[in-house]
Amino acid sequence: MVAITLSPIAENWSERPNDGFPLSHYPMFSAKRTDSVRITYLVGADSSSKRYLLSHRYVGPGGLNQVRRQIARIARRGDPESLCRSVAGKIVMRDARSLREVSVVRVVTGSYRLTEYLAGTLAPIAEQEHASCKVERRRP
Amino acid sequence: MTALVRRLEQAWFAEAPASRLAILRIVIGVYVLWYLVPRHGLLTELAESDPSLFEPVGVVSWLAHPLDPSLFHLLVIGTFAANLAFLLGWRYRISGPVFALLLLGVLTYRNSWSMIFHSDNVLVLHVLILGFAPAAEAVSIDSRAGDRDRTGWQYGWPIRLMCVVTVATYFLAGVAKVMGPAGWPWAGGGELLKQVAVDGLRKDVLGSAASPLMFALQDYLIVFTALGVGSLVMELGAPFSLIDRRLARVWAVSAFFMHWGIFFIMGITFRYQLSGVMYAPFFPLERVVVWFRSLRSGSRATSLAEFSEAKFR
Repeated sequence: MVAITLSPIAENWSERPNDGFPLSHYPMFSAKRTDSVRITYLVGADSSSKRYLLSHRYVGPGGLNQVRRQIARIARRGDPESLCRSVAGKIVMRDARSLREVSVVRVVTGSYRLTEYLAGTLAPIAEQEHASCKVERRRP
Repeated sequence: MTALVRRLEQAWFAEAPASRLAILRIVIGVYVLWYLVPRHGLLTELAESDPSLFEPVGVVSWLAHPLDPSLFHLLVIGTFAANLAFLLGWRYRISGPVFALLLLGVLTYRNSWSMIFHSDNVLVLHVLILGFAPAAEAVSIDSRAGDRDRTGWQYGWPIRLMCVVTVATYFLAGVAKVMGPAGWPWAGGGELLKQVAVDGLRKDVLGSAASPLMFALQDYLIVFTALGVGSLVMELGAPFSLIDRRLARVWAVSAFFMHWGIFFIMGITFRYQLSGVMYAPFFPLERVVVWFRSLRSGSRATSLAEFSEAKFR
């Protein structure tokens, strides 16, 4: 059992390390970070182009990091349009007061600078759009 | 040679009371119940996720497609039932291994949707050890009156194994850091600050919130250097703590506080670690039960201090 638990240590010398469960070589926090970070996420906008960062809870269950990875995967290989529509539908259904003005949802990958973020700026230096859709509310 | 064998024997097969192993079973059984039951909805919802997000790992890596959600739901219900039997020590020869394997399966499946939650690893390993050990020979439905006073090496080695597996995972995390792209300079703290900042940025962008402590501490690189050096000492030095029982307990308490530090600075919730349950195998839990029993029986003269002199440390 001890040998099995320690066996993933070999992944540290592998060209393509593989993580597993419950046996892992615990690669978290070991990556080398540059000042530039790319994150894929969802952003809303209202008619005056004001931005609204959308919570991972509008995408699916499993917690922030799991959903973050899922969004990135969908944007890369999946169907970002249907993710976009699904989130737009949830915005209408949940009808949160803070998002009532949101009229457009976008799936984007934003590039950020860590130094700027640590200085208090939460704005991307560039944003690449994967999909965009309208939030269609039925008016009474 | 004989001395070495004797030392190994003492380290691995030291006698322990059946009640210590049994209390570990109860404490960890309660923890799993507390952890899993409120996540029933999440597990069900997760099983109905987009199949393209399914990335099977570990014991379910042979699955080409996700399971039928209703089958997974049944497995989760079965895990709850086995959890209860494990906790109560009912028909343990069957319920122990069944619960251990079901928990392994359910949590591996939960970790097969694009993200591995490393905080669950040791929990599963601990339950696997307990499930196949004689952990219900005291304080259980299966046990008979008087069983709780039994002692033997068969109750000692699973506890030792749980401790060794725990420190092994920390050692692996330390090796990954120094063998990773950052190497030994990781201890300098600059890389750690970046990791913390990336985590905070992700939280802010995805609708959660970064820890305010991160912004408050960012100008004090010395803090991150201390945390970096401290983490590496804790992780790479973990196996050495097993040389001495007291040292192992100091290590366990330090690791517990390290996770609370991570929680306050990064807002990362490693539940099994933060609860302290993960470090329970390092301590003689049965003394607490004996103490409570003595309180109930009105023996006011008895105190925890007296139990510190008990035979089994």
